[in-house]
Amino acid sequence: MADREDLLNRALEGELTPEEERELVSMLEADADFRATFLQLLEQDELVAQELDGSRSADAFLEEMRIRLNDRRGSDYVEDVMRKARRRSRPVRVRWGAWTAVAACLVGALGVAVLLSRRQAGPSPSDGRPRIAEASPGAYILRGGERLTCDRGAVLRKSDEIRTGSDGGVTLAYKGEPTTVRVASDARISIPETEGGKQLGLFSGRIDAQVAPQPEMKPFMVSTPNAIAIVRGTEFNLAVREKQTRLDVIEGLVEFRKQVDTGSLNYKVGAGRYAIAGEGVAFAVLPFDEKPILLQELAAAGRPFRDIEYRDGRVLFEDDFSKGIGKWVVKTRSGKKDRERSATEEHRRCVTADRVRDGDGTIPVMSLDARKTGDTWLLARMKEPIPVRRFVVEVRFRCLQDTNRYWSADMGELTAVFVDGTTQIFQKSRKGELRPLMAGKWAVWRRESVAVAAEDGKIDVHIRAYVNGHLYRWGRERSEFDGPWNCGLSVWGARAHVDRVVLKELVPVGEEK
Amino acid sequence: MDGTEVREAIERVRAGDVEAYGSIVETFQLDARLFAARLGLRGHAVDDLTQEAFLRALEKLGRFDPEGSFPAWLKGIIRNLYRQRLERQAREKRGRQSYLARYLLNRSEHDTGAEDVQERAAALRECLKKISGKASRLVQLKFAEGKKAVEVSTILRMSVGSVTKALSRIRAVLRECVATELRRAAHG
Repeated sequence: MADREDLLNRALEGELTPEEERELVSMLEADADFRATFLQLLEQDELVAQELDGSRSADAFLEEMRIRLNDRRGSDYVEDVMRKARRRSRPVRVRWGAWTAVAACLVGALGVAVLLSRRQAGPSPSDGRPRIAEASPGAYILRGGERLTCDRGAVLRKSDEIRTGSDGGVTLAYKGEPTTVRVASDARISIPETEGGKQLGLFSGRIDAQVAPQPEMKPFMVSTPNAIAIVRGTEFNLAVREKQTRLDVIEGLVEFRKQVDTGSLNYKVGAGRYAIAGEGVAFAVLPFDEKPILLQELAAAGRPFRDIEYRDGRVLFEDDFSKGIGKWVVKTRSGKKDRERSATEEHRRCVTADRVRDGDGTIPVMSLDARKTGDTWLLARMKEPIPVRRFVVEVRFRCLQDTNRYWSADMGELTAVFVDGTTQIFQKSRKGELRPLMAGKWAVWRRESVAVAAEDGKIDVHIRAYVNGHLYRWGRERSEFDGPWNCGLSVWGARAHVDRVVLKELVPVGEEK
Repeated sequence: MDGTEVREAIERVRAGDVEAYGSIVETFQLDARLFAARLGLRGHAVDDLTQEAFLRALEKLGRFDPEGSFPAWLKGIIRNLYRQRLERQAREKRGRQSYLARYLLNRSEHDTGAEDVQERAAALRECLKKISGKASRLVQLKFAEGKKAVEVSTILRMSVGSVTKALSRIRAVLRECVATELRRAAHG
């Protein structure tokens, strides 16, 4: 029989065999004190992890929760809740209100005006609405096309717009908290139609805000044409000028989000620093005493993503598999070090050109079927090396397997699972755990990569990776490998169809076309 | 948040203020995550299951009895979600089940954990400050970076057995320290 303490320790490490688990269970069942100790240690390990691992802190948990809720708002989740609400409403009338309320608020957050107006028909709380604390004579409120004076104490409504004249501004305050927003002269702000925490829209001009601590899930948000500032309690200035938004943080921390075609880029801007989102400047966080980075001045190639933005350049490689898979070579990866190896004849037979049904017709694909290759990866690698150090690869694919198997694209950081007719994409954490990203019949994976020489002679590879436009991974990887780079698509134990692969050069925005 | 505040927050959510749910999550996340840990889950799996349970609870808030206990209801959801996951895993692994996971799940119906989670978290925070030197490095590697004992042993140039024993000692010291801190707090 194994030592009790040894069993307990290895159970906490998650290293027990099924037989040892049985043994431990009988010990736990027989001895209440031992069981209490074990449960306490499970809790204690969790508390220590939450305390020391920043990604597991309470703040990180709440932030992830907020993201998951927001993600679901935009998916079938809302429809599903609505459907359940309607179904439930027929036999159980008394619950109809509650279900509809939950559904309505979810949809309301999406900005669906019809449901929102239904909600507003009932009593609505006045909390969270800004009031006029001070106003200069030139300022006025636009409400439904009507021009109203900014009377002190007036409560603003959704869709109201405030315009300040050239001779002064307006100060907004919120009931029950010391938050103030000073709207400077020649500014235009609005109260958005959306639900949630305190929100303002800033079309032009400048605001200086002092924001009292806000609930984690209800931050103070200011939207501009280029960006969103998300605040949980701090002092900052935000200015919109021409096609740029500048955020200056005086105290605390502000999340600054720039909208881009593929989603959004985020920074947390600390005290004494600023960031500009908009045309012509790099989206970067800088100290007050440093000048903005103008993209035109960034002709030097290979600057990291944090300092420079890139656009897709010329197409270097494209394959829609209409002429077969002649541009690809089959390899495998196996062994403890997971090295790439030559493929056997069996491996080669598993990668084929195929035509598959898509909608009403059929489309050509590269099919990778690794269900019979044992514990080895099936790898399709582009024959030609990538001739540049800054590139983006886009792969449209779907996974065809009804069990949890891995689809790995280049970096092995994604897992796709085929469930109920959809390819569901999960992100693999460093600890090998899966976090759901999104689902769809076909998925488009995009990975941007910029390699630059580091000072120590090694190579820094700056990457950004997306699935269906959702940025899920970014950062820097240090490597001794300096190219030529290559593109490989690999599958383990599963079947996948690749519909299209496009490789493009990445060009710094502002660089001569 | 006391019981009345929780009920008020739930009513606000039901009335359409979904953001009020944030304060509920904030209040109960620690208790819920510790409950998931007592089921034998570790690391991000704890957060994943707990977040899913909070979302499920929001979806089903219309069924919640306002006079009931929200944390107890939430733990029931966590338990059900985990049971479904275990069953799914068992199907995929052709019937192979984790005895320990099953046992902890069944046990959780009678044993939902301590109520003084905030106090225990504060006490543990104080106790962690007392760990220094190599032990502190070991704790960092194990809990902050999520490394396995074998990886820690390579980094710290210790045998795996020594790492396991050191971890066991640290766990025992922390447990004792937390108990002492809680006793001290109880006696003012």
